[in-house]
Amino acid sequence: MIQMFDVSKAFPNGAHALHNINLHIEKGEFVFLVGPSGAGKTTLMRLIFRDEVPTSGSILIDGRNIERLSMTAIPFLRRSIGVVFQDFKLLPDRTVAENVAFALRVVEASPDEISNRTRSILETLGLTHKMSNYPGQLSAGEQQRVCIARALVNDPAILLTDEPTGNLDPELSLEIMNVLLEINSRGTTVMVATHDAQLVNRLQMRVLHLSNGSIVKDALRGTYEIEPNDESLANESEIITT
Amino acid sequence: MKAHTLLYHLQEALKGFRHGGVLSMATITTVAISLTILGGFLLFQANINNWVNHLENQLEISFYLKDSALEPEIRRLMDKLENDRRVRDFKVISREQALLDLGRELGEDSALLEGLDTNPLPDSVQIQLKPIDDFRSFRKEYSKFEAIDGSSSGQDWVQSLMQLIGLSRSSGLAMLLLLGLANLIIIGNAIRLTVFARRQEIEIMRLVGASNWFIRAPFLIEGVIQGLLGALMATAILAIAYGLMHDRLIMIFPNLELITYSAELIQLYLRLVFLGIALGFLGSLLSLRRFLV
Repeated sequence: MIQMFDVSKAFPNGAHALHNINLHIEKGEFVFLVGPSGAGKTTLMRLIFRDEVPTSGSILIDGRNIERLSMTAIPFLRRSIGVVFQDFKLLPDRTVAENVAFALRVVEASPDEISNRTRSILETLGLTHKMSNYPGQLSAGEQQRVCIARALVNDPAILLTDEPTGNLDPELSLEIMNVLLEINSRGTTVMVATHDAQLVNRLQMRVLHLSNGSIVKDALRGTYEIEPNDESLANESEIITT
Repeated sequence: MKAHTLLYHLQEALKGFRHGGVLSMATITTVAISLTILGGFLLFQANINNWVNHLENQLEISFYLKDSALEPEIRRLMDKLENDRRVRDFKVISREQALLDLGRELGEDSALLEGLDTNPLPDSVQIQLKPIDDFRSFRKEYSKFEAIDGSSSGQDWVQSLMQLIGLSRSSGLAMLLLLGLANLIIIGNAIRLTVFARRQEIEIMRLVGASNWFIRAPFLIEGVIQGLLGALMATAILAIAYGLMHDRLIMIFPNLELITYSAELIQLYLRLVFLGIALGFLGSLLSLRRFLV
């Protein structure tokens, strides 16, 4: 489903985000992408939905080389990939239902389809009673779920989530993870970027460990042991995000 | 594009327009001011053109015929005039007729002419010309006829004026292009602020897989509405100002050939409105560029 061959990404300011990444993720897999902040997790995800292009190497999604996509084909790639952003990216002046429906409007779904699918996905995520609320009136966990709903409403083949539990307490984190596992059990390929070791170790899924832009470990039923230098970074980033 | 999508875009554009509030008003005002300046220039130029056309259509020259001119020579002159494309109309004025005309022009002073023993005036040909570029060469060409003694040269200034106006027309075009470009930049910048205010929305649209045209549509509609309203405002200002100025100027200079024919003015205003719409569209299109894909 997702293949990377010798992918490197350097930014114009000279910063090297990723070095020689090789990876292969099968359809329907559940993968944790771990590592401290700055390790390149977000960059790797942005390469997958072509928000960034690699400096070298190639990326295949569902067998297609995505660098060669024409400008008009890029939106279609993005429709097959749901993304849950670290900062949610919800529109503050639209209700929960409108935010979710936004992803369907864009693909020119019919009004009936929009209302049915929005209702159904909000039900799945237990947000029906918050449908008419604005993001500002929701808790962080609820906003996170709205963001997941929006990412899923198009029924994507791949779901990318960037620190989905970053702002949540352990109980809510687990709840979100259960939602993601549930989605994965229906056949969606799920990638979760996190530096929450406790969560990763509890679930025992495939773990890709990024450090300084390189994959240092790829374990099928892996755990995440925070290295001394990782820990300092991880703690630091937590302080920043809270 | 599906009908419900178009409806959605229209709703979004109107919503953006309402939410824009002060920003939208600022954009419309900017468009209105720039188009008023441009429209004022267009009106000025249209009036100059009108005046020039008027002058061009009044081009006249008279050739005086020698008393000794022979019949065949005069006939040759008439034939040439008959076949000359530059000539709109001509008539031969006999010396007797010329004297009568002079007497009429002199009015009360016509008694002066009674003192004359003989008629001192020559026969002449009065020629009305079509608008031509080179008045002087026309005169020179005909002066070669033996029958012609001389010509009235009273309208030499028209030639110089027309050259001057030819220059002003070409510089006017350059000026128009320059003003048009300035308008595009000003309007583009004003719309860029609206786009910038909604960049988060654009980013999300992009990330959930909206096509570039889907993202552009509401902004383009909004740009067109802003351009249209700005242009309508400019047209209203110009129509009122021109109406007032026209009446005053005509009162002071009754001979001034100002445009009063309303169809011509309406055409100019329509062009301005169309320009406003086009600038709104183009301005939006250009300011959206860096936010896409």
